[in-house]
Amino acid sequence: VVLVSGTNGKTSTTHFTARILESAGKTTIVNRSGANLEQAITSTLVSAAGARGRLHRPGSIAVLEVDEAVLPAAVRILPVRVLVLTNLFRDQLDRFGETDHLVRLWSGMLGGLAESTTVVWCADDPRLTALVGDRAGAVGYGLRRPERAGSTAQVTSDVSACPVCGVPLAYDWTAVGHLGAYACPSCGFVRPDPWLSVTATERGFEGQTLDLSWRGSLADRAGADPGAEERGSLRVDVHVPTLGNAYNAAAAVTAAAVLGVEPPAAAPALAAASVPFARFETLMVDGRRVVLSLVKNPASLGELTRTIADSPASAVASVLFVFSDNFQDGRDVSWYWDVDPAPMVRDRPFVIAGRRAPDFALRLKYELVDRPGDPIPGFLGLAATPADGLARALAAIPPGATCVVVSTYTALLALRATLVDRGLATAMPR
Amino acid sequence: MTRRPASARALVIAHLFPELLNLYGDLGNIRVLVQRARWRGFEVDVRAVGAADDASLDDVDIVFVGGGQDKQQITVARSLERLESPLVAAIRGGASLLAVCGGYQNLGHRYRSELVGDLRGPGLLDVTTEATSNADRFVGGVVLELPPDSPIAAAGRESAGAAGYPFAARHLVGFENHSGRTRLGPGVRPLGAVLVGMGNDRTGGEGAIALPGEGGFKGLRIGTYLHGPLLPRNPHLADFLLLCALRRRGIDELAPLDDRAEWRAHEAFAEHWQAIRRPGESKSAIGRRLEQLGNLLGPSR
Repeated sequence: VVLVSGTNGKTSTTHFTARILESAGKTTIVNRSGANLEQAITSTLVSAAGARGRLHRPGSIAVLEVDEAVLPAAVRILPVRVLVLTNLFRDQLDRFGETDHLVRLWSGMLGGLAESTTVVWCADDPRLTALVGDRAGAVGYGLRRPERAGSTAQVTSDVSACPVCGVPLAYDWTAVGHLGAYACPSCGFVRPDPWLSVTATERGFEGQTLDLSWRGSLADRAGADPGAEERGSLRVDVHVPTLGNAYNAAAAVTAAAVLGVEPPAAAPALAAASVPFARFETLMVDGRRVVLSLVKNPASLGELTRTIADSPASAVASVLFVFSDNFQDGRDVSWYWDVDPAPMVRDRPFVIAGRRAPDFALRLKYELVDRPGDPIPGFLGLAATPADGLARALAAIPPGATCVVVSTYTALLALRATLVDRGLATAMPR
Repeated sequence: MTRRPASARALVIAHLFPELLNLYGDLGNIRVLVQRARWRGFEVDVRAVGAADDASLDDVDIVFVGGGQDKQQITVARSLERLESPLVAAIRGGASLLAVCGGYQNLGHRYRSELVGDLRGPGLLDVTTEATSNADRFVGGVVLELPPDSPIAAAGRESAGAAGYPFAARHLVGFENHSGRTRLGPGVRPLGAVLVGMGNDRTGGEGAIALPGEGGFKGLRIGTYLHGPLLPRNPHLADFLLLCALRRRGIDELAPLDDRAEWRAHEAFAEHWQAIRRPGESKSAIGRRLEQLGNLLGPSR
């Protein structure tokens, strides 16, 4: 069993890992579409177990994404060969209470983890490094300084402090939120050199080029030794955009390597991998391209803001925001005040829908309105439903142009279902 | 040389411990204060005061403290020991204070939890807080009823009416997420009565307020668990904070703004959370509940 957990990137990492393992001839059992709470995981395994109730087909590997709070229980029950920890962002505080609480949960979980479990972790996340960095045989992955790197952590305080001594961390660069090259000026806590390093060259929503290099075979675990020399490198073009997905690809390649599928064998599957549901999925609606993108916390919204703001009007012509606050989205929608989403819509029209639409309209008003009483520039209005909103965002752009939908989870599911029901949507083949 | 009018000086907002207490969209509160002042032609200077800074607070008009996690609150309590006298002096002298969630807990007399132990605070608000286990968190949307004579309600009556929500200014809305139970002393009164949600300690009140001039402090003091963030959906509270700050320089009135979007969001939030946390409760039932709570809202000493 491979378990994937962390705030962002669970679904995509699970998806990439499964594709790589399948391309190497393994049979996989995967839970789809972010169904990562206890019941969904159980039903995934039960349906895979078949009539005899036996799960183990020879050689089959379960790759399961697991909700962060559910992970300690899942680890106790399942025979975990590889545990992939992607990152810990602030997310859904209403459900988990405080992120520190989650860190304590995970700390206990890791303490009780069987030796036969290999932990794969994002070495660019200081809190994960503090949790797992000393564990024997743990394998890290990370990025190299991206082209458009930040220089400080995104300001949320839950992660900007050294997890060991509490002093604010110094960053050489950051890629997404607080993920980057950190060092504590006080206690010497520092980002370890990861086993796999990735340089990402982005191409807007079209995808990116990933240059991977790694230190050696993990078959004998010696490759995880920080002293091991660089042993291989390769370049792969992937369809999936954003640095978040560069991290997800790195996580998947590392997890597969632990299971004996070396990076060169993983590359073709990665290059061919499309996105899982709603992660930059592209649909054709009324002759226009619609890119579905999921936001759920300041990190994902900040990342998307950067990608859209850097895209010319020819690449992204309009934006539809859909904000909902159902249980799975997180009831607390305050997080979008912690990043400035305005650069996304400075040069393009936008519509806002979803149950929290009036709140998000305020968010943009307080960034975009310079003189009192002026309308919000570019704002086409609140839409009664996401489908109506999409119709308006599409009506504002010419045929062939692209509208990006920026949406929380449940609303995005509902919007996609509506489009399919109406026969408006067909998945666009890559 | 012409003399600059007193009002020409920029409004100074001090954001205390932004590196430690800034969860839950706290930056939104600052953003709203800044924009609503700028829209009326006032310059605003936002000053970040970190835990390690020795910043002077002499010329500060509004002090904002946000929310954080237990671990950060320990650092905050330590820094407050150092900052206590300039902070108390500033608010005695007329600066207004808004403290949200963790900041609310830290600025009272004390905050106690299993994780942090017993943290002493400067007592800027006459409250004490004890945290329960994480399982008993109060999480969800909150609707408060302001007292009938509330100057906060008065600050929003016109703009709410103009937006088509004549009663909205009598309420505050926000999102609570806390395991702390806060008890109020006689030096403050609840900010409002809880119509929807839990509030300070489930006994009917939420937050704590002392108006300018009370308790030997010239400045307004407000502590509350409401974030979400608090001010975007409560323009009357934002304006009341600005008014208290501007009165020191002889400005008694703020130019009205078009707050239709704000009140719309306020009302949508209130309706949404009333449906979730108090399903089936009619207006009259809430009215009855209000009567029961009425005596909570008496004047503070």
